[in-house]
Amino acid sequence: MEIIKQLLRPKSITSYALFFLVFLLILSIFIPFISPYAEDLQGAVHFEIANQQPSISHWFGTDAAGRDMFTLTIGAAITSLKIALMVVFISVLVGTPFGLIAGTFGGWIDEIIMRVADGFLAFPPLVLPIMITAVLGPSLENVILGIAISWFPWYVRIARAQAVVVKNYDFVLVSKTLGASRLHIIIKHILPNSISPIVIQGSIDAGYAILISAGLSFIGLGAQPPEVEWGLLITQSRVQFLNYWWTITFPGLFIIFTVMCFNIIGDGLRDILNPKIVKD
Amino acid sequence: MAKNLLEINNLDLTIRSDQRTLKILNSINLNIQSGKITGLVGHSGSGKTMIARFILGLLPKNAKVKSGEILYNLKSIINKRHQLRGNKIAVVFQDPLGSMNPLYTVSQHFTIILKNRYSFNKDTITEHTKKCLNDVELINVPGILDKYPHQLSGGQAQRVMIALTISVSPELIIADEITTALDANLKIQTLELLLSLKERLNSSIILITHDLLIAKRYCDKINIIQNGAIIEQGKTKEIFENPKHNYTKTLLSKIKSVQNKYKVSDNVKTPLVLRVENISKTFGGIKILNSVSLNMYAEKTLGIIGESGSGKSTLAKIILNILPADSGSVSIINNDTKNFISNASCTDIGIVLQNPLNSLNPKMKIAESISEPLILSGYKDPNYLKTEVYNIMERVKLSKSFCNRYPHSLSGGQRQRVAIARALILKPKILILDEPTSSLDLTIQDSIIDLLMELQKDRKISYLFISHDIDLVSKVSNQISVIYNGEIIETGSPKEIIKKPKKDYTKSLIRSVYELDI
Repeated sequence: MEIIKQLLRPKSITSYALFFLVFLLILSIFIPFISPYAEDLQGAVHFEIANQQPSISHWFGTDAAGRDMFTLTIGAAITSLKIALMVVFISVLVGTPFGLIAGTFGGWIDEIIMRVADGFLAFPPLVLPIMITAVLGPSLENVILGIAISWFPWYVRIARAQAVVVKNYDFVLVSKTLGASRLHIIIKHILPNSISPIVIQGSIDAGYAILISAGLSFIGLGAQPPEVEWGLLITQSRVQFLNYWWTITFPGLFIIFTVMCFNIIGDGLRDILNPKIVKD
Repeated sequence: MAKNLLEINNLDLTIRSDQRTLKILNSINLNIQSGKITGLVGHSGSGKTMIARFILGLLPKNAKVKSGEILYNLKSIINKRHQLRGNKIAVVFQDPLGSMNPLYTVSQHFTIILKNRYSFNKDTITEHTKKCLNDVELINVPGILDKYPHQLSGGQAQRVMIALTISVSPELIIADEITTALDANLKIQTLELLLSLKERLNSSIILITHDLLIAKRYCDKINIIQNGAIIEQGKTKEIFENPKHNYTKTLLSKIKSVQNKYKVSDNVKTPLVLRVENISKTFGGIKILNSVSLNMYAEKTLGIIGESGSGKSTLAKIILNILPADSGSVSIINNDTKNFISNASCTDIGIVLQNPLNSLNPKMKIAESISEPLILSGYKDPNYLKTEVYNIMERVKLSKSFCNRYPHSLSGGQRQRVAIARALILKPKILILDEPTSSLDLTIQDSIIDLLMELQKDRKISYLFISHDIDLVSKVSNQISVIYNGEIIETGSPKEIIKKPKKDYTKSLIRSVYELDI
């Protein structure tokens, strides 16, 4: 609670970023009900109004199929936000326990977990999601799965690094002298003291998940028409970019802003959770 | 009358930091007589090291000399200090490892200096290096030559530093807190060495220290510094016999005198509660503990004195059964059933550690921390937990209002009370106190000790009191064991240990704390 309050302190950049994301999410949820062009989200086409410039009736203009770019761009936000949150959620949920176990137990358990994680990390960041989506078939779910699989090892590493530090603190020693089990030590002592860097990394990674999913959709491995997704919107209009700038500029701007907001929140969390840095 | 080798007149020095200008040194007048040891005594932050750096011309960038002059052999050297340093004037710093380049071997350190100063050839350098290392009484000189700094022990490293200093045959040696990082044995050896080198080289020494006892023993003249000003200077004898300034008086009053307020009964006729027999432990080829045996008796305190690295914390861990011993046994004796329990069961022994900020989980509320042992022992009823926590908090004189607070919002003393409460909630018969007060300041230290003594009477607990502070241990213990390099070298009542120590190590330990000549 204290953290949210800090993030939202008046006039701070983090409060603007958080506000932007929440506003975008709400708008995106309600756009099918309030937009006069809601049927465009379902794949309706109106060739008679194709490629119109931004105007009062079409704020972001229209694309080659005459769809309202404003409705599509806002409507796509929920997809991207869903990807961001799901990817981070799955990565953290899988990575953290393995990392904590590796760090706390050490020895051969540590070796096995970390070498497997290293195996995943051996792939360049985009290659593994591309492989996974190519094998499992292009869809949003597989994009989420693909990115999560390529990213969870990072959380294993962060959680392990924290666990290795925290397990040497005296309070863990005291707990051990009282006969505490490893599980108790992990849950009560190590996890609460390891969570901050994971939260920070997660909020920054959420932004990058959007970038990568947009990239995958752009090369045709992510969302499929008539789904709307920022990367997909850009790829659909890329051939006519030089003539009709608005068709890819607005989705692109939204990607930039959203990723930036996640980064700002991540930085803000870092400052809040590590009070030492703020003092400097 | 010895002539003045170095004179500093009216030195004013300021440092700019954060847009503020701080006055660091205030009209310092200092005379260093040749062939004498001059002491600069003061607390950390008093400006002692700044004077040394001024003499060497090595002031930090943000420091500014407002006024003042420095004379060496009656000639002003204010602009020539860089020619003198490492030549006529040399310095030894507190942290020998920090002052050596970890990438160079010992002989390379010498080569760099000697090549620059004297343009010796290779053989002469080796010869000279060996001579210097022999002068500082290092054993196995050829072996040390090719070692890197991290392969040296603290005492060896400090000797190498001193050897480096004397390799240029300086007329003035500045020794800046050179013994602070060393243990009691080495402290005295190093200072004796410095003294003998001074005689041989006929040089002068500026001895910078916070330890009045050292100053008293080795200095001819003493300058007492407080807040950047020399508040008193004079012959050592005069200052100690007749201090004029109040600050000097308080400093002198802090030199501990051997007091006779030992715990009354040093006879241990109560039943045995814990027996440690021939414990040995080796870590990575290094013997941490070597056949340690102890006996603890009911309601008595056994003090363990040892310096850092002596193995005392390892011993505590083995007694607590969280670290396996290589050999030997720990048995707890239950006097109701006359049973020996060979493996310490967790509810019989409690522990209080040195740093309460470290020993309390920062993410757990105070009440959670205190009740953790109960929960681990299987108690679940929240009402029972609550009453137990309240009871024990009252017992260690903590207000109930702390229950829902986190450790960081408590003071050091309060945190240590929480740690004691947690250790006592299972009503153990034995409590291990591992440096329980050394992270606290003096007044709080006293109140915690009082509390512990009260609890001992009240709850009939035996304490294993582990500390490096011989003065403190002798006050609280019925028996004392001295541990050195993993071995218990001496055991006896506090009186015996302090008045009639048998081993050399104990003697130097006592000499480093008390003003005694044993």
